[in-house]
Amino acid sequence: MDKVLRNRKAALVFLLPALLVYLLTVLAPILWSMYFSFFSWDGVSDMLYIGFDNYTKMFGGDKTFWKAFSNNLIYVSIIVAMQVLLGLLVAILLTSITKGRELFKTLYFAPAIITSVAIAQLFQNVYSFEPVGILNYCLQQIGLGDWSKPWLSDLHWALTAVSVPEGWRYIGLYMIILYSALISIPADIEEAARMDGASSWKLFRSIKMPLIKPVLMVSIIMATTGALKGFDIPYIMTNGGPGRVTELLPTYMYKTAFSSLDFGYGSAMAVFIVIESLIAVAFIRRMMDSKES
Amino acid sequence: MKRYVKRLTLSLSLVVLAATVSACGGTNTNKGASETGSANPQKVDKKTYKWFVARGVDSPPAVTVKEIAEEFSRTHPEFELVLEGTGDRPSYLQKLRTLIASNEMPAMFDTDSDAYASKLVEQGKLVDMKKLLEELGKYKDFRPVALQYQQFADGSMYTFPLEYGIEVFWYNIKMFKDLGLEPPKTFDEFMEVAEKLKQSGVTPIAVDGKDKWPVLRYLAYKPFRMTGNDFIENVKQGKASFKDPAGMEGIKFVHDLGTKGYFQQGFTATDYTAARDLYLSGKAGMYYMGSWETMNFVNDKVSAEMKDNIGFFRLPMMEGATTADNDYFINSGIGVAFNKETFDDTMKEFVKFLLEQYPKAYTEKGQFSPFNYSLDQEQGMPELFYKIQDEIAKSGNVFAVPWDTRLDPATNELLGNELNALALGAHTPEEFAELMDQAIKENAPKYFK
Repeated sequence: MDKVLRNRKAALVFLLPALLVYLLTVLAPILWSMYFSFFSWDGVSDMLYIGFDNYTKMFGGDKTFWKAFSNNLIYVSIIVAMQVLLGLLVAILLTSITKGRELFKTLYFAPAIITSVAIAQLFQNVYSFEPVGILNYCLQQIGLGDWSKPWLSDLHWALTAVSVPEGWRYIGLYMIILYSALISIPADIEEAARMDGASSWKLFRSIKMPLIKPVLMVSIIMATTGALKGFDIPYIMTNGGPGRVTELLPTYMYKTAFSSLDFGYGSAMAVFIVIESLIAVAFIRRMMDSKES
Repeated sequence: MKRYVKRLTLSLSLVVLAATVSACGGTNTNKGASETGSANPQKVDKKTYKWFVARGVDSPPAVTVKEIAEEFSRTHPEFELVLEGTGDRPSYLQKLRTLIASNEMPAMFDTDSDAYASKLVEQGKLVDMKKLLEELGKYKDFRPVALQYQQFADGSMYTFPLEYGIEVFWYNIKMFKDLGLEPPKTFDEFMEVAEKLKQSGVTPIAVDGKDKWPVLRYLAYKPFRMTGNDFIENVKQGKASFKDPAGMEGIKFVHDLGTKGYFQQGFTATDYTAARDLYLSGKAGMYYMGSWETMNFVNDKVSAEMKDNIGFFRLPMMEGATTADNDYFINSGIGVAFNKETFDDTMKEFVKFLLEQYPKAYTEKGQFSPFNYSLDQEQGMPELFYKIQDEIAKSGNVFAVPWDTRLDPATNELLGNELNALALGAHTPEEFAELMDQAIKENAPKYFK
C-alpha cells in the first residue's frame, strides 16, 4: 500500500473522480451564474441579452443591495466573533478542566448537528414577545423588564437577533477544532515556560497563540465564508424583514431570483458573493501573515 | 511484487472511474424514465400524473381530490395521481417556478391567476379552463364569484377552484360584551373598538405578519371601499399612484394600526398558526381570516369556553364607499391549472369525474365548496358552519381581489417587506407611497404592456 501512495500517477488517477465531482458541482454552477448574469430572464419568457446592465444596476442604483451588503458585514462580524472568540474561550476552559470534559464537549457540539429549521424555530420561541419567550421572561424576572422587546420585529435589534443563532450553533464546532490544536501543543513547552515564570496570560499570548495560529486562521476563514453565505436561519426567522433590516446578500439574491423572478439579476448577485468570499479569504490570509513577519 | 502493485493500482483506479461514470449514467437514465413516465408512459397501461399542491397534502381540498382520484383509479386502472406539496406558500411558489424554468412543469399544479400565470398562458402552456368547463357542461355548477375570482382581467380563465371562502373579522364575543363593545360597522368605529381593547390590556388584533398577505389585506380595505378594484387594477400598471386618496387612505390605515400598537407586539415575526392561537387563546380581540378556518374554531382542540365565543363581522364601511357592505374579500382560493402537454383524454375524464364527486365530498368535511351546493340543518354540522353558510348566501357579487395576485412579482416582493416596516413606523405614509410608486415604475412595464 505504501508503494501505491508513493506512486504519483496513481495519486493523480485517484484524485480525478473527486475533481470531476468538484468541477461539476462547484465550478459549473458558478460559470452558469456568470452566463445568466448577462441576461434579463424571468424563467418563462425568452432570455434577453443585456450585457453588464445587471452589474451596473447592482453597483449603481440598488439601495437594497448595499443595505444587504452592509447587513452582511455586521452579520459576519457577530458570527465570527461568537464562533471563533467564544469557541476559543470554551476550548481554553476545556483544557484546564479534567472532570466532565467529554460531557461539556458533547453539549457544546450538539447544536451543530441540529437542522437550521429547528434552530430557527427554537430561537423564534426564545425571542418571542407575545406569548412571552424565554429571553423576555428572564429579563422581566431579573428586573430588566424595560429591556424586553419583540426582538425579531425591532428595527434596531432584529439583525443582531438573527445573527446570534448561527453564531451560537457552531461555537461547538470551532471549540473542537481549537481544542484539538491546543492539546497538540507539547506539554514540555508549557512546562518550560512555566518554569521560566510565565503567567497564564503570558503563556497563552506568547506561546500558545503563535502555535495554534495556522488553525486559528483556518477557523476564521471558515467562519467568515460560512457567514458570508448565511441564509437559512435569517430567511426562516424573518425573511429579511421587517423592511430590509435583516436582508443579507444571499437572502436578497434568492428572493430576487425566485420571488421577484429576475434570474439574471439574482445570478449577478451570486457572482458577487463568490468574488466577495474570495476577497475575504485573501484578505484574512494577508492580515494573519503580515502579523507573523 | 512491483508489477503486482502496479496492476492493483491500475485496476483499482479503473474501478473507481467506472463507478463514477456509471453513477452519472445511472441518474441520467432514471431521470429520463421518470420524465417520460408522466408524458408518454413506458407501460401502456399505467399513467402517473403529478399534482403539485400549494396547500399541503393534508389540507381538505387535497385529501378530497386524492380520495376521488383513488375511486377513479378503480374504474380506470391506468390512471394514477401523485400528490406532492408544501403548505408554505413562498417556498411552494419558488419550487414551482424553478420546476417550470427547468422545463419540468407538473401535470397539475396550484396557481393564482397572477402576472406569472399569464406569462405561462402567453407561452401556451396551460389548458383553457373556461373552454373545458363549458365542454363538460359544468360551468354553471359553480358559484359565479368562484369562477370570476379565477379569471384574468380580460375574462379568460386557466385555473379552476377547489375552495370557496369569504373573509371576515372574527371577534371574541365575551370580551366585547364585557367591555360594552359592539362589532364595528365603520372604520371609525373599528378604530374606537381597537383603542378600547388596547386600553383594557388586551391585544386588539392578531395578525400573521410573517406571511405578509394578511397585513396586505389591511392595506386594501379602504381602497376597495372607495373604488372597488379600480385602484389596484390601475396602480399596478402605474396608471394611478399610491399618493392618490385611495392609496394614501390605505397606507395611513396600516400605519395607524401598527404604530398605535393595535397589532400584537412582534407581529412581523408571527406566523399563521401563532396568530390564530393568539386569538383562540383569548389574548386578542379580533382576527381577520377567511371562512376556511370555521372548522378550526369549533373542533375539539378549542376550549369549550372559547368555542361559544366566536363571532364574526363584515368588512367595515366608510363614508363615500362605492361598494356595499356585503361586498368584501371573497375568494375561491388558489386555483388548479393543467399542463397542456400532459392533458390527455384520461385526464379529461378524471376532471369530469372530479367535478361530479367533489361538491358533496368536500362540503361534508365541513368546508365551503365553489359549487352551488349547501348542507341543510339535518346534516348536524356545528352552528358556526351554518352561520357562515348563510353569510355566504347573502354576500354580494362584487368582491375585492387580493393585491398579491395582481401586482407583478418584483413589486409584490417589495410591498410585502416594506409594508411590515411601515406598520412598525420605519416609513412615513408619504415615503412609503413614493417607494411603491418607484417600484411599480421600474417593474410593471415588464409584465403589463
